[in-house]
Amino acid sequence: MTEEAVLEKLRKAVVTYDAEAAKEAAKESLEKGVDPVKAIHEGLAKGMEVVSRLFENEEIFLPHLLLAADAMKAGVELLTPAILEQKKMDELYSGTVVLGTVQGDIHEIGASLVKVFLEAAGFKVYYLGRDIPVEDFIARAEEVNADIIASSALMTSTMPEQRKIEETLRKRGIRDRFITMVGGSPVSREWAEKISADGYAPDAVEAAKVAAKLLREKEVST
Amino acid sequence: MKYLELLTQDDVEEIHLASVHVLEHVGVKVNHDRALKLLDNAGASVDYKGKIAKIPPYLVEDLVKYAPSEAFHAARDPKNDMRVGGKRVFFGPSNAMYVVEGKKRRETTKEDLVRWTRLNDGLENVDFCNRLRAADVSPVVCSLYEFVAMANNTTKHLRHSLVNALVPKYLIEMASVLVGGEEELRKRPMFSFGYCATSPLIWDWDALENFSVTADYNIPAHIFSVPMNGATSPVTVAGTLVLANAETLSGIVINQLYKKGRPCIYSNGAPRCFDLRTAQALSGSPEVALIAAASAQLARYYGLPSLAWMSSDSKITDEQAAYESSLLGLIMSMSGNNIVWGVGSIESESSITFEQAVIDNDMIGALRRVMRGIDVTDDTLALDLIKKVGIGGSYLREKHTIQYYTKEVAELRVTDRHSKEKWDKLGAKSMMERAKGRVEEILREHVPEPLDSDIQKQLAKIIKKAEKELLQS
Repeated sequence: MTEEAVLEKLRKAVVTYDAEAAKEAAKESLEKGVDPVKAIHEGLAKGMEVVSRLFENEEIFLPHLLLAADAMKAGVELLTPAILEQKKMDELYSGTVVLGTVQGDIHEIGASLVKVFLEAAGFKVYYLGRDIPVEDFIARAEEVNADIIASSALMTSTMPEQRKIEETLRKRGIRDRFITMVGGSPVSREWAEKISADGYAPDAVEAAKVAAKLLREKEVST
Repeated sequence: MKYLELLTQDDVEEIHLASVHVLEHVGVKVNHDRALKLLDNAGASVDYKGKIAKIPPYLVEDLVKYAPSEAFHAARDPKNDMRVGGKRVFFGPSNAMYVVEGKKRRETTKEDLVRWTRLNDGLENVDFCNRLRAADVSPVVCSLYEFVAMANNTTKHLRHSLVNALVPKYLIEMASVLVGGEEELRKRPMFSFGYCATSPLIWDWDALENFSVTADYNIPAHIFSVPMNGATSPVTVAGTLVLANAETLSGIVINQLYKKGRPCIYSNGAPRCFDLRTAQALSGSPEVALIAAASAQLARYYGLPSLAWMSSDSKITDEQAAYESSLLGLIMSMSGNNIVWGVGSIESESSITFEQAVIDNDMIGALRRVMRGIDVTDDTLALDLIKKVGIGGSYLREKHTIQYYTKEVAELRVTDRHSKEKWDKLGAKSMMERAKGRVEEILREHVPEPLDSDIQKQLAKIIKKAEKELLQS
């Protein structure tokens, strides 16, 4: 089997939402000595791009997207040890995001969708879950040397927590180290501007695009 | 799903008894000699001079039983055949004289009917097609041109309106060409038509002659009573129902005398409530909904299929048109009318707009979902799944969700369901603007299955012949 055939198998596993097929294709690609980073970027992630586009065009439903992401993840898990071995981890991800729903807020469907899209777009995502204090966002971001801190708030009463993230980062003098992004149904572009967050997205698809764009801009400016 | 029923069984009996009383003691004027003779022979008391037939209750009850409970309406594509009856509800476009573009109204033409038919052929919730008046053709033969405009542009059933009694023989010939002969037409009636009584209590010659000459071919007859309550029927809903029921029953009786077993659709479902302030005959009023709902219930009482017309009194496609059509559509279909038409209908049934048709098509999509009701099975109760997902989990990744999503959730075409941001990105379009877009898209991209060119030629020949015979005399 040629390298291209293996990559096609990986893509197909994702677009058919088939985690078992993704694992199988990942194993095959290791056996055939395909570069594991390439297997992810040119194989699994390309499949995910197709599925994301179908979702954006409203041709498939959210569960399909999640199942495709699960298939991709199953493949990535099998490929990761080889990448670690070859010390190519920095090639694997385009950036690192710390993501969670702010303290006092127990909604997480939205944030968990953002995670799926960010991962599909090639980000390493540290998903903290829900009801996360400001301190935990920042501590984890420092620990993993994150590029982006993304917070979600689903109630007007918890939105001030997003402002607190901004203020705390500024107070510590580390605001410039991170890109901040905010989201959630009551959150608006106006709110993001008001609290001086770097980015805002109305939905999960857009969030991944905004994250990629902000990261590119930061890399260019530094 | 249970029917929406507004009358008790006792109410239905009371209305029935009052209607047969009217037919027995007041009678009905029958402007058709053949019908008068048939009524006389069957046992009605007939005054030939005044053309009044008084029909005894036993005769009404006996003859109505001959009308089938299911009226088969055939289509060019058998997939689109309609077995009108039982719990089935079919939706279709409006018949009209005018088309409204923006705020301007003009008479409809042959070409409008071509486009109207193509649009309706392309709308997924529209089950048959209906005629617009071709005002650019001689009224003597316009029904023939209209038939061809429809036949060429849809594979759905053709609902027609016959403007005079000269055209039926040519229409039968045309329809026979479509199905391959008169005998085949009897099995597959490709078109249907209707007439209403002239309230109160008159059947005109045109109506009866058209019913008479098509009876032998099993062409479904849509029999209407269209009273204007307060003007041509009592102002009370109950009184209007008594009169309307008497008129519709008498029409069915006459049709069964023409031909026992002829498929008849029972309809008091397009009444015109007379507004005594503006002196206008309304179609979108709540009283229309009440009468149409009761009409379906009465039809069931007689074991007959039923029909209602959803429209609006608005002059354009706007908020009033949306709410009146939705209210009427909901009540007419939930009450069990087997045909609910009026897709695109505004201005008290006189006009259509193409955008309204696209909006109504979405509304019907939602309605159909409501009418499909709630499916309760072990699998839909999903108890095992609820246990599996447990507390605080998510159902998004479950196979059950994908498996049932398209079954459980209606998909609509021009109804906006996006986030504000996506809506902005898509051009911040109103319903009307989106509907316009879909009209253009369908007319640009939807190509109805073309009619065999040989058949097209034969139809054109029949029109030529009819013009020679009818216009030169």
